[in-house]
Amino acid sequence: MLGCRTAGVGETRALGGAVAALVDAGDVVVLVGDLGAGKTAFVQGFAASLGVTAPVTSPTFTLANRYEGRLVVNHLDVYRFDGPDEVSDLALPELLDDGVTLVEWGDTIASALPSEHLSVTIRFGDGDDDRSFELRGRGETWNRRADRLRAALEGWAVPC
Amino acid sequence: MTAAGDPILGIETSCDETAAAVVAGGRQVLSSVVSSQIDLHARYGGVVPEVAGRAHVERMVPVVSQALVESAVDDSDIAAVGATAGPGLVGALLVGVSAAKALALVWDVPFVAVNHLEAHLHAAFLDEPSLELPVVVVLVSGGHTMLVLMEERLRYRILGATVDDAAGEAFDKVARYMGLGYPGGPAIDQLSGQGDREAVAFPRAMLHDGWNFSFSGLKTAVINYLRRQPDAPAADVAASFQEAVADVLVAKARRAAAEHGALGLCLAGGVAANSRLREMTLDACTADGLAAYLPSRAMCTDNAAMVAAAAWWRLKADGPSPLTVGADPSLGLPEG
Amino acid sequence: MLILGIESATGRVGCAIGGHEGVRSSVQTTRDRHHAELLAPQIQAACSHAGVALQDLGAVAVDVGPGLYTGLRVGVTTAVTMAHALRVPMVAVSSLDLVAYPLRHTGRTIAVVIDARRSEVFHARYGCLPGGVQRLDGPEVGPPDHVVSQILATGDETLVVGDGAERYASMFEGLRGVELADPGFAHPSAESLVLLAHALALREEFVRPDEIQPLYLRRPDAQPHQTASSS
Repeated sequence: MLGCRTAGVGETRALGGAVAALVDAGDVVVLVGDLGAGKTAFVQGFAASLGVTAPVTSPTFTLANRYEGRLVVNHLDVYRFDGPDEVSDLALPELLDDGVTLVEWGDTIASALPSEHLSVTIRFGDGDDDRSFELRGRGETWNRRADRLRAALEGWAVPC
Repeated sequence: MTAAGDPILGIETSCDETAAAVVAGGRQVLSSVVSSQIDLHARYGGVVPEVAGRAHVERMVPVVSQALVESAVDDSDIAAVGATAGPGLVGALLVGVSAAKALALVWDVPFVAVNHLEAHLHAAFLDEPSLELPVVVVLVSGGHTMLVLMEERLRYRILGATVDDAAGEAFDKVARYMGLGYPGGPAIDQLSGQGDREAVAFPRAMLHDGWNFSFSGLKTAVINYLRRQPDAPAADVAASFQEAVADVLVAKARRAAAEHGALGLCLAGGVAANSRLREMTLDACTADGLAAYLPSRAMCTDNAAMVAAAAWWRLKADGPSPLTVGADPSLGLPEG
Repeated sequence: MLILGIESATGRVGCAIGGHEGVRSSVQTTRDRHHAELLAPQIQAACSHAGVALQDLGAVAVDVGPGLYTGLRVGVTTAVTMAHALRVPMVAVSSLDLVAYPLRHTGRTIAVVIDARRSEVFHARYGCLPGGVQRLDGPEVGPPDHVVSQILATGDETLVVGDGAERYASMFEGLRGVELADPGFAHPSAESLVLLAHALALREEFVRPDEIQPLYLRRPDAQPHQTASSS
């Protein structure tokens, strides 16, 4: 598990960008954090790092946005779901094969997501703009990338 | 060639709703059925199963049937079938597109693929047939926030859009954070009526800066304010937040109208129902000598009447869509 | 009775028209993710080739899954809407039954394995009867090695078929008493749908359009969340 801290939305984006450098098609990133924590900002940096030039907007109402960069980026938000049964509306199994998928509030539909994924939990810090991150890679493909992930996030790392 | 008064069946399934409507001549709404607003069980004697999710597949036929029955138009008199092909959620869009094509085949009439954003632009005309162009449209909902210059009925330019959160989403999230319930927009609207809209000077992002919008910072500012001052009067916070949103939307809209010689301002999308936004728009229009077009509640939210109207115009201008058109979740507004 | 069969559950999408004399026309395309673009023109072509109008149909048959969420939505919605507009009854058949049906003369047990993505498969096993197949177990969704274990546990001579069998062929090759069917049988076909639907129609096994729902088979709340090692 990796701990990180950022001070401002720009750093959160940069952190997202650093994580993006390590992903491959088929990867899933689960974003966990309260309203305003910076989940979408993370995705903005992540997508930009993969060459997406279109504005990355919040998928809270649209449920799923799709961007094209070096990889297809599927940006989902299940905030508005009342339960896992609504997952069928996302056509998830077909979507996941497509590129890299990031799911905001993905912890609420954990049973519908692959057990192998990177989970990123964001919490508010002391100052209005401070955030603390916990990144946890689950599964063999993430175990193999643990060192590279640690190296990529060195600039923001804190002991945890 | 579709005659002036020909009724068109429109179908809308881009996100949460399953809707169908019959509109004649692109302007006369003969029926408009929206699944969340009717009790399908009551009308259909319980044949609509209890299913989870948006259940577009299960709701499609009952909604279309209801729209036809209410319109009193016979199947054989429907001149064309239009459906939202995008933008939206692909699993949802596929249902509307598939149903529309199936009906077009059975009835041997044209199929028209409709753009959801374009349909919202046409919604204003259903309430105001005499709307004079060019107008600046503020299309603002949970999923979209954009400023559009509508020069002719089928010719528009996107002037600006949100770079992060849509305005409707900001309302919903602030309301959720404040524990006001869902849907958030109407809850904040109502609470704001009792509050001081100048109590807190929340940030107006990018106010004088280009045509784009940004509401994510405002959302976070409200959340941070409430974290620091949990005892702040909720009505004041709500009113101040609402003021900040409306302020930015109206300021850019009137600047756009002035710069492009528009004759009026038009609101569209779910947030167009907000009372403060409507009031501010009206005041701005009076001050600037512009016409103000404020749609009815039914035309603000997602519905199929606007799809049927847009279909009529597109059919007249471009002819039928090929049956090979699929759903496009990222469909952009066709700019001309 | 003329029946239109609509098949859109897997990567192969198509339709067929037929009656007591068999299949009159069929159109199919194997091209992933294009169900919505292909199906309606295919229906038009099938009618034209068969020299029939949609109004001549007595029933509409559809593959209700399991399979692709997107494909099933296109196929089921198209079929249900058509049947409703034509005021004709429907026949619903599962994709797994459809893949087994053409192999009904094999004499062996048939294991149908359809790709469910996410390293899982939809599966069911069938025995052969005069004129058809009978489901022995399933339908289920799970990892392909569960199918292997199941087959080995029965000890039956088994023919394994389906796009999932193709995808995970290496797991089935070399197993004693197990043979992989020819890849030509891997996808459910609209022709099999019409033939099977005709047999069901003769027994009046119809359903109303409002009784049909896609069979997604996955129940997210019942899925075990496997704990994988974390770093």
